[in-house]
Amino acid sequence: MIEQTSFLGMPLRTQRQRRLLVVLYYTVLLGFAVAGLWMGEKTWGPLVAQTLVFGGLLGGIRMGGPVKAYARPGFPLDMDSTVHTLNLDGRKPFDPSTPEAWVPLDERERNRRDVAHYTAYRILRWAFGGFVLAYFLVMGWAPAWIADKTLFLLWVFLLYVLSLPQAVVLWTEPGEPAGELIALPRP
Amino acid sequence: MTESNYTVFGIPMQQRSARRKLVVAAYLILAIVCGVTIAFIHVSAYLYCYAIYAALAFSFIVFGGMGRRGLLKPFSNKPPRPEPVMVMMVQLQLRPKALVPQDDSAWRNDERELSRRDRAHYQAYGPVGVMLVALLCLMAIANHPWPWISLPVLMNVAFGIALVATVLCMTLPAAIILWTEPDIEPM
Repeated sequence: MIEQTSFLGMPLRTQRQRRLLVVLYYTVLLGFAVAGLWMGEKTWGPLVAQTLVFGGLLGGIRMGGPVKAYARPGFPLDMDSTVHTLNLDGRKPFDPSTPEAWVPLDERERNRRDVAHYTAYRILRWAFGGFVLAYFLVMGWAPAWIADKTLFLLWVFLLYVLSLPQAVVLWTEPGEPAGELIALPRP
Repeated sequence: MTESNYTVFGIPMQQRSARRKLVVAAYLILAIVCGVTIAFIHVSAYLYCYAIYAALAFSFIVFGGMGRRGLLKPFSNKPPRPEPVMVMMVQLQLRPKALVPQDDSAWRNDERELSRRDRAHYQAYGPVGVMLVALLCLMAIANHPWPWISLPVLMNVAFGIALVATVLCMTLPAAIILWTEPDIEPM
């Protein structure tokens, strides 16, 4: 389930290192949230535009992160041929010999993915309840402020939803990865 | 994945077709409640509570999974709170040990059922995330409204999506399991 043994220069060989990555990820996210709420609307446009970058940073929903992609990603066009350039032959898969090729999840990995989503879903349900409750409480004494920040708070919540299953995988995947796992070269 | 009685309000639910009819009927009722809520939200802002109550009722009483009642066993896979044993040893504050193993099939999910539970949550995670993205997009548009859509209409649509997302978040995993489980053979 863990596809890389290092990510953005951080080693990810042990559970402790992977947990550190999760903590750092959510610390950075919290930093963005505080900065966004403090600095106001000017910063929101770029932040919202980067949703998929931050949300998919841990992998899972896209390739390139430490967690293996859950499903076959969309394939880029092969630009070597004029036929492909015109997209007459449809989309082409990656060359399977390259390390970026997506390999379907085996049974254990599918189980891990499903368990992570179940755990994330449970956390999400409580978090959503807390979010709504806090929203209405703040609405009572600062309605203008909360109405102004709704969009940004929703964005933070969306990032949380997008990244939580991957964070659960990274947090719970036991010990050292399998011996055959090697660091994949980045393109 | 169903309880031993296999009935909802006296209607047998062993057949998958019966369960699918139940799921369709439940979502039809929830859609009507949500529709009425959205249509009359200008009358009272607290009307949304009824849609939430209806979703909770279906989750806890009809579908199950979130509580001790309903068709599905509790997702938490934990035993019910033990009832006091009415024997003399209770008066002596001793803990009697059961001579025969207790039948835990009413609440314990086996490996297949746990796998189905986790898969259903994985499948439900996507639609809920998509609803959240749609909500975020609408709120972003509402911040800078287009000239051909009035702000009240946008806010009503956003409210509707938030309501539907909340209802789906509460009911979708159980509905997926009820929809996909095969027919149950009579004992």
